[in-house]
Amino acid sequence: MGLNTAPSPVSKEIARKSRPDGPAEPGQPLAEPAKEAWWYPFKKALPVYLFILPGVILFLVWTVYPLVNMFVMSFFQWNLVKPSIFLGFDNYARAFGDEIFWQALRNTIFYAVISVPGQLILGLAVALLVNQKLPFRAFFRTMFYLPVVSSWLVVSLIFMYLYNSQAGLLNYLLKDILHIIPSYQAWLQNPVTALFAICALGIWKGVGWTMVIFLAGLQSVPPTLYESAAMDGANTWRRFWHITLPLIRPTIVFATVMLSIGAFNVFIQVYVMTGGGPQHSTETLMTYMYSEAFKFLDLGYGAALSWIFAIGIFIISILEIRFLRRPVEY
Amino acid sequence: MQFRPRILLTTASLPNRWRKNFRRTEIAVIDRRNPFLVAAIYIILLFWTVISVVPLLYMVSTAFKPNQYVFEFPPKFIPDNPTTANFEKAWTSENFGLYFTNSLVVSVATTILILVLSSMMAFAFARYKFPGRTTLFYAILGTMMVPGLVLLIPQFVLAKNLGLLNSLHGLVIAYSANSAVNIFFLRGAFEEIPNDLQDAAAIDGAGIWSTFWRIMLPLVKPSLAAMAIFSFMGAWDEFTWALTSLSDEKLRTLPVALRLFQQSHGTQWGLVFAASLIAVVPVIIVFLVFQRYFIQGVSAGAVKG
Amino acid sequence: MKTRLTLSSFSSVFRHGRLSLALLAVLCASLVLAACGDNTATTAPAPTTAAATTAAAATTAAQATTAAAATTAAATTAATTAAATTAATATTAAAATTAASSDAPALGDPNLKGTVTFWHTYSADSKEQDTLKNVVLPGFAKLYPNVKVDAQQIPDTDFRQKLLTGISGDILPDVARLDIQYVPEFADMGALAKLDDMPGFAAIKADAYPGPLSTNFWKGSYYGLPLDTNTKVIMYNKALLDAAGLTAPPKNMDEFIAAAKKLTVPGKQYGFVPSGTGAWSILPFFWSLGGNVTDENITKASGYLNSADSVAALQQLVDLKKAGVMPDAIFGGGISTMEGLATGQYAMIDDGPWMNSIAASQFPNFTLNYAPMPAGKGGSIGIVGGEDLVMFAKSKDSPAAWAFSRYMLSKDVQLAMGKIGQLPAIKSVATSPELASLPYYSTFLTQLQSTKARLPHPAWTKIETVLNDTFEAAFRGDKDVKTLLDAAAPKVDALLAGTK
Repeated sequence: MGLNTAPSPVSKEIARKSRPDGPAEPGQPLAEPAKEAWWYPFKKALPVYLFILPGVILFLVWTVYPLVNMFVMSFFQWNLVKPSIFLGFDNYARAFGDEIFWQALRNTIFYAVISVPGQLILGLAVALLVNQKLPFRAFFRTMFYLPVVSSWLVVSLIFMYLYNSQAGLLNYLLKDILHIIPSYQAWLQNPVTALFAICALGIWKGVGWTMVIFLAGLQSVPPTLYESAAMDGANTWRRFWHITLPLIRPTIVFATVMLSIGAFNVFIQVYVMTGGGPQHSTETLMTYMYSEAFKFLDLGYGAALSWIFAIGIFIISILEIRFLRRPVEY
Repeated sequence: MQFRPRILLTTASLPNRWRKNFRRTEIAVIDRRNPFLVAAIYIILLFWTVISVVPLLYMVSTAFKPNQYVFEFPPKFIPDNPTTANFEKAWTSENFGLYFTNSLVVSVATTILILVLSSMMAFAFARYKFPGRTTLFYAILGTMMVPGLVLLIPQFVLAKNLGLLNSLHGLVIAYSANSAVNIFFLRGAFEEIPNDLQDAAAIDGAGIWSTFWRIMLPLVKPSLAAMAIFSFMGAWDEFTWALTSLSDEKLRTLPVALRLFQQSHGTQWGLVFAASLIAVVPVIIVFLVFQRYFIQGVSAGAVKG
Repeated sequence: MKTRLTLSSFSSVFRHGRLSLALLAVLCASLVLAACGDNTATTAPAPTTAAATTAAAATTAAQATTAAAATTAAATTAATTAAATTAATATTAAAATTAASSDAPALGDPNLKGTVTFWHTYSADSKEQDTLKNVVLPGFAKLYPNVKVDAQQIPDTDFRQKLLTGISGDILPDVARLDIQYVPEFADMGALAKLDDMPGFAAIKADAYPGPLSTNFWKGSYYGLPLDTNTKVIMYNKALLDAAGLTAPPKNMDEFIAAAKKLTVPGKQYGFVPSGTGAWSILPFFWSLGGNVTDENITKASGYLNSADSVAALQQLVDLKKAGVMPDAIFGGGISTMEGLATGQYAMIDDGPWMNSIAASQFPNFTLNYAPMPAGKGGSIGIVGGEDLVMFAKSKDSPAAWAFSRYMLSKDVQLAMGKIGQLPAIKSVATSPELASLPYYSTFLTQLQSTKARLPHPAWTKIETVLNDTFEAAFRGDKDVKTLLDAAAPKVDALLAGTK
């Protein structure tokens, strides 16, 4: 289970499964002289290659080639209408001197910093409660998961409606029922609250997913550990802190990495709810890239931005894995 | 959020006189005999249920409201004069019947293609050794870390050159290509199968295809079901690529069509939510029916570090 | 079921450094693909070979852009003068009309075959759509039984972007109903077909009002037909005005401001609600109060956008917001102006003739009342809106597309659309008694006599962004009006000059 036990489960797996003759070509005699030729393994694996060919072609054409082409594009002024002009590193230089790019970056990081821990904490809390053997827990689990299965576009529209600055349900609730706010707020149109409003939607929609992930993690913790801990007189808090949390650490890392990738990908809710406004206060990397590319037809600049994001997300994922994983002893 | 989540997790923040009772509990589950604790848990669970469900219910309620009551004050959950006019308008004059069909066709085709391609890849990765396997495997794995939207621009250019813009099969191909997660998931399922079965098939002289199709595939049916649901939902909900690549009105999928009602002179909320319900209800039904596979699919992979 | 996905796999990627190896491998493979693959729509050289030649290309392109920049200014002046000359020809030579129409073939040709894809922004759930589907298209089918028209509604919020992606992806319609403000931009891109020499164009040109016609003119040619024109006027809820003791709508700006304040009940009812804080919403009031964006030749904004008059004009509007006359909904996200007016929460709004049709469809029990823009220091100035019908240069079926375009400008269609709020830009139709009898018509027709247009300039979209941001910041009270306008003027200057 350890993340840094060497060799990794994957490579162990590979070692265990791989047999010298393999079932790929069962009739082949083992001691054939041609085996010495460098191409022999390739020839032997030909049926497997043919077998995976469709999938590999799709992968190469639709993922790898665009990745490379995006790199090429990022050095051009590229708009598909006029011939492309080579710019060298101009697109990258422009990005780093671009005020709105930095604001989009800050907003995206802000979104990640608010929404990822929000989903993690609430998701874990809900998972711990639903994990108790109480009546109706299946019902609660189902209810909590409903936001996850509703499409992003629909929930964005719903929240737009709830956030309405005059007759929205949220304003009604906070002002007329609970009297928390003095006057109606234009949640999505106020630069101060707009990003929080979008984070709230992100958390609301993500808690169900995080809960299910944590439920799976919690169920993998052996109950015997708790029993012996209880015998040692550890209270519930200590048991949570010293047993549950370390043991579900892989799950936490997994959820964190996945949620961060999702957070950096935030697009639909911003595009639909605010379009990046007011005054770019909710502009995220993805909405900025999208509008540069498809509203101003600057595909080369958009490609440069995309590359910067891709590398950024990659580095952040690595850092998260490095920092969050630690030896687990039990 | 109104509450401090820490309170929910443990008894740590309860008053000491309550906490004493827990010191001697035998196992990790909370004491179900303590009515306060049980009540507290239920209150919190109900609170979060309300938060989760109320926005969705509010959508349902608004979908049945005539236009002039959409912003009535104070907001009403049960409309005074409910109407199905919004649904009729959405389905017929706004063509949501057609968009529904488009979404269905695209999602079903995507699901089939993903299942076929990724189970084949996963099977080969799990059960065969061939030169380049590790390299290819890690290459696919690496793309999981690059979120799909990053590649939107070059994929648009590519789709243009391949003539895949503005067509439903273009959507299917774009959606099917994003199946790294499925490959890993299914690869795990194939690895669970004992070696004996494969050896027996090899002795019978079965080739890779018949081993896969007749012996292995039936054994991973539950995983395939989970994958099918996720692929279907992913395709059903996808918005950005459909928005960017489609221009023909007759090809719109449901999420793109929902944008129709957001116009600069105002949004017709009753109509929007009637159409949204048309888009969301099938998915919720699929979820409720196949919940078991859902949970399995989501949590697969999260446990093993 | 347990799988080996995820973290172990992720972490081993980094540990073994295989990822770099893998990526290197696929990189090489796909570079080969890239080399023989695509570059742009045009058959430009592949990137690898291009690298050597691009240095030269870049320099020539740079020269080209500076040259273009120089001509832009000239072209805009040309546009305005050309509009003036067309006006002159149109008005003076009545004989020209008959002369021109003689070369125009009559509408209707059963032998013409083809398909026309037509993108429009006629509002969903309104009479505009109904009329198009039930009157206009069947009428065309009678005249051209073998031409199929595929009319598609695109939401106006996405329309410009949809056209841009269409241009870059080669998925364009044949004909589009394009907002007048975008015609110079798309014409400048070379996306639109020149219409000067099309059979029957001269007749339409001769019968069109010069203002709407001039919006189709770019660098010496016409790229569209004036499909409809519009402007915005004041619309009010009569019951609320009566309740406040106002017997007539305000005539001048002083009365208007006083009435707006009088009609405001804090937190409950708002006196005047513009449709937003963007240029389209604010400019008519800004102009009427004496403000200006640029000089007459559209060459610079400094000294105009930030003049004392402009500052005073914007300040008066911002003061209305501060006084609570306008709700926060002007920043969006609230109740739409039509909804607020119909439900008695807003007393006065400003909007265009299309609202007639939308109101009739969505609020059948509410009667709209119209009043002209109140006159201020700058007069009673409306903003010219409207749509042009453009044909795309890459249209696969241009005879059919042109037949359809001409049909859309024909008297029957213009009348049918005029009745539901699409004001015709064709003189012979606009003056017809059938339209003059409509309740809203005269207010708009009068207002159209005194209007200003948004800047006919290819950089308008970007200039508009600057104005929108500036106005929004002013209404929010972020900074004082003078500071904001002082900051905006040089930005607009730069955009007008064609530099980034």
